Amino acid sequence: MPTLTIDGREVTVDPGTTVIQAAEELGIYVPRYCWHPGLSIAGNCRICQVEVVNPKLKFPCTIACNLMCGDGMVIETDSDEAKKARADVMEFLLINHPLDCPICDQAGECTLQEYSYEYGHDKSRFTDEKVHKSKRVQFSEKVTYDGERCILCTRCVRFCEEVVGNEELCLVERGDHQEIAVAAGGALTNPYSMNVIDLCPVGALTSSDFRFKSRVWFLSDTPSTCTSCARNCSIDVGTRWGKVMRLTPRENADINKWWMCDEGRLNYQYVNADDRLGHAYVKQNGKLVRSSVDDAVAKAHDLVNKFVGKQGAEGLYGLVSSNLTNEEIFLAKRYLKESMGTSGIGFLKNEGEGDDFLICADQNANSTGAGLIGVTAAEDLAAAIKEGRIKGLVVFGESFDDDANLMAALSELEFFVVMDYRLSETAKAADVVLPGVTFAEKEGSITNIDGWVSKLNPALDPPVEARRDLDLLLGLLAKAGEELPRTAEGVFRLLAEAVPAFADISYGEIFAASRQVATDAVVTSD
Amino acid sequence: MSLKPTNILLKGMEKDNSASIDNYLADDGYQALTKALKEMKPAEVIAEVAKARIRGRGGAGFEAGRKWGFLPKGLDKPVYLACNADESEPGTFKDRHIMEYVPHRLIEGCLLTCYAIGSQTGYIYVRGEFPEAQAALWRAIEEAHEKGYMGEKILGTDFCCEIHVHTGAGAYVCGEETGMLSSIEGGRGHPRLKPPFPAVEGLFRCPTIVNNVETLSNVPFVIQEGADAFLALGTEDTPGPKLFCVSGHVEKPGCYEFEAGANLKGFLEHVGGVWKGKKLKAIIPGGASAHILKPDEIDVSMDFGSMAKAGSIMGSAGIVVLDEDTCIVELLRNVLEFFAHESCGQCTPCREGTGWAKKIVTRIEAGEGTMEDIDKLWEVADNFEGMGGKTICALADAAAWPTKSYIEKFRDEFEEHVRLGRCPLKG
Amino acid sequence: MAEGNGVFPPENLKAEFDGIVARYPKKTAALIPILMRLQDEFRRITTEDMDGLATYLDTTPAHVLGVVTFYTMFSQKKRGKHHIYLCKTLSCHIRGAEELLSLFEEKLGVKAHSGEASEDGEFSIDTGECLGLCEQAPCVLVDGKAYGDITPEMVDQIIKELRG
Repeated sequence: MPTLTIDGREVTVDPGTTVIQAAEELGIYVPRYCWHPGLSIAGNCRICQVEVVNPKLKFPCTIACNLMCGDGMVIETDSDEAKKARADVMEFLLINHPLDCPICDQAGECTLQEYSYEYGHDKSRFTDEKVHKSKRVQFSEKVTYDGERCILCTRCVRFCEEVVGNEELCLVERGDHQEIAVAAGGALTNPYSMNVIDLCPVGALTSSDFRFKSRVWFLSDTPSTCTSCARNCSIDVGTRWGKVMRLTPRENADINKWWMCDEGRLNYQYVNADDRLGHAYVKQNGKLVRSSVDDAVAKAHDLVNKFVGKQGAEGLYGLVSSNLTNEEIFLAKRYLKESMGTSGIGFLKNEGEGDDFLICADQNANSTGAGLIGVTAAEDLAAAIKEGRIKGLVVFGESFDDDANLMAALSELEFFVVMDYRLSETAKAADVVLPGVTFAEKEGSITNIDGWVSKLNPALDPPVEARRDLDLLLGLLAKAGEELPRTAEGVFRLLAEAVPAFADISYGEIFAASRQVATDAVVTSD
Repeated sequence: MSLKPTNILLKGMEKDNSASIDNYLADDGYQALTKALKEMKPAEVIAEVAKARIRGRGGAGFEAGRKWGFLPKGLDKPVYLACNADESEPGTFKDRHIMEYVPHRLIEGCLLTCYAIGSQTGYIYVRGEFPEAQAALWRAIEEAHEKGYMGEKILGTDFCCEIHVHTGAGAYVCGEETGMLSSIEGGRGHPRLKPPFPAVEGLFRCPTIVNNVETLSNVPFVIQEGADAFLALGTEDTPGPKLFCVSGHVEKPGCYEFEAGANLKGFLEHVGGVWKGKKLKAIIPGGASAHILKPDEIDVSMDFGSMAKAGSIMGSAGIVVLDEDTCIVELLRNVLEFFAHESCGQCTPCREGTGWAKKIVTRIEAGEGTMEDIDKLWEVADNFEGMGGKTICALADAAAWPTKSYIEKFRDEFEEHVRLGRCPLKG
Repeated sequence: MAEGNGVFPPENLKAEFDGIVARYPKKTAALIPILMRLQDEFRRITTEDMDGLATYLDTTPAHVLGVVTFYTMFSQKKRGKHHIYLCKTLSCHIRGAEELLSLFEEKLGVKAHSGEASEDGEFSIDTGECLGLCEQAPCVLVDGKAYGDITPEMVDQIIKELRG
């Protein structure tokens, strides 16, 4: 365990730790372009040079990313020597760099800008013609490349080779004519390709989806969780003008490290779509008519209650989306089972192709949470309705527009209530439509495939009169005579009392980091 | 020190069909290998080579025997020999002479080295622009197989060894030992971070010894005649025989063999002096990377230590002679074009700096430079000089040394270009 | 690629290429020797060959492209039957290489580094960085042979000899 001194402060580290890592342990930030904790050491940018006071090397400075900590080493990260080394690297990087800042999406989150400001010279003495390279190269529909902005740190090349296992990007040419390229006639095809955009320290690799949409300093970033599959990657939701502008991965050592898949990253347009529900609706004379949300909630409960009162709870079924939060699923079950007495509760499975990295075959975000709470995959609902076993259907947070059988069977129901975030064809067939929200407006927790519990934080307000699903469910429960805590945290406490798997974690903890629960108690079938 | 010719490295070159194994055998070829396999243990071969202090003839001057000692013991991985025959330092053609005229000497040197280091596979990385050398080596390898000096159970012992020629494809940076390894493995010739050093982790992540052609070609002599015989030649600083290349504005360009430590001034006289009766302007003594020497600086012994003390380098012993009509600024432009073109492009200072330096000197040469440009050029070079600190390998240093030394020693020529707005030597 | 039928390696080269691969513990090490052979046979490296070679050596087309564009002896454009490397560095430079280059370019009707061959497809020319033939400066390397100590007067003769 070597002990070394960095900027006058001692630190003892594990053998094999590099100086840049040791500095981080002390909270000292050494600038870096090519170094990334999730990739191999390239040592090509040279910006992380630090002064090595002891032992005496041939030159005063060397790169911190590849320098193994030694006992008794003395490092200065901000001495005059280190400053000059960094300033010289900045000068070299800027001589051929185009003055694209005014039109470059990276502005505001560009380490070339940051380091130039922190460590660079304030004047340029380059008076020659800059090297000109390819601009606006479409590596794919999702990723755009600019060769002039590229500082050739090779993070993108190493990511594809090492993390994805598919060497799709390469350097071409030599010296200061180098660029990054895809194979001739090829493209960037791997399902994690857009991570290179986050990795790229400059605006060489940018998101085609986000291109020219907004300056990043106008975005509000809300830490949340992706709900596109059961992996639940940690993300930041970037919003502006009441819309989601982009999703980016957030570091989580337990779940997704620094990465997320392209599909999850791009799966936010529906939040901004025109078919969002902003009002509640009630069917009158075969047509959906706007209603106040409170009235609609009352009407919905009335339908359920009257049905149960006349026919008993057996014909009542509750389709509870496993994309809902733990708290929401808990409340849904509470309403349907404890209050209204039915055991007919299930979620629609949504399976796709998984891989051995992040993408899960289970494309619902919270199947594990649902399973722990005791909600399992639904039976064949169309058949059950046709056979008369289900006569009253309540759908929480789900739609099945593409299931022709099920859509056709709806007309045989005695009543049909839908709570969802959009006016789907499913919702249009309902007697009461309650306006819920997407993950982007929610607060609550979800549980991933390995039992990691992560938090959703609201990045936007519910549109117009829509309400968070949690609130709508609390409303139904209130109508049924159950007055419960009105916050997600309060509901979580109830959940933790009722479901042993959640007993040991606290809601406050999962804001900062995911906590893992045991998944052996997941119920998979009744 | 006066010139002391030796006939060791290029022995047999004067014969017709000198490259054939029959000619080599007639010159006591493969006696050293026989002696080593039959009478010496591998460790003894290493010890003899270490005792001889053969300094690396590729240019760095690092003792071969010491390098061999870095191989980790008891590792369960194959050991490889990678012979550096990339010879791309401008002004250098000595390895080409060995490979084309007396390839068996190199082959025997490789086999001896493989035996010493416990390797069964050696690759001779020959630059793509040496097709004749490659052909000569392949023929030699075939002949060696036929006569039982290569392959399985060589000379009836348990030693098995295969040497292959591996071609380059046009990149000076593949002469850097780890750039060469990256190239052999089928990649771009990018030098690698050190540590780890090739002796620990080289080719295919296995321990690898990298040595220059001329270095390895000394091994048969050391084993056959003994380290003392080798040490009796040359100087204390650099023992042994040495090949010196001379080209440029000289009467008799060529590859010459003398004991190491030959005097540069005496050597120039020996090769007929400056051509066409012209006066000497300067000498670049160790390939394009070397710091330039003015006429009053050439009375120097050509061994590693003396050349370093004289403010230059022995390098690859590629001596280029410049007559009085040479424009030093134009020469620097040519040299920087070379380095900018050959930079692999990994490290920021080398990649951007060599390109920038080339642009500045091109302007100065064309008469479009300023006085500030001269100092700027020197500073840019100073800012990319520093292998291990500022860069991964020494290519940038190799570009910095001529840049700084030409400006320091011929500053007036640079200033004249600025003042006149053109080259003072051309109209 | 000569056949263009998507089979790699082509039938007549398979045994040779398999032999090259066998020299190394890792297949990718055969990449550059094989690319040199392809460049020699077909005067250029095509996209089809890069794709085929990638599969043959268990690597990716992008990796092969990175290698092809790094080394000066590979070209994606078809070179002339006789590709001339004219050395432009140091000793050759100070012994008249620039003048020789202009002569060759003029007589062959093709510019260095244009990537183009002469109209009859016979010649193409590139400058080389120190070909290691400095004692014969100035020099050219063409068809695997070095021509040294070239004077302007010799250029016509050399071209004639190459035409055969």
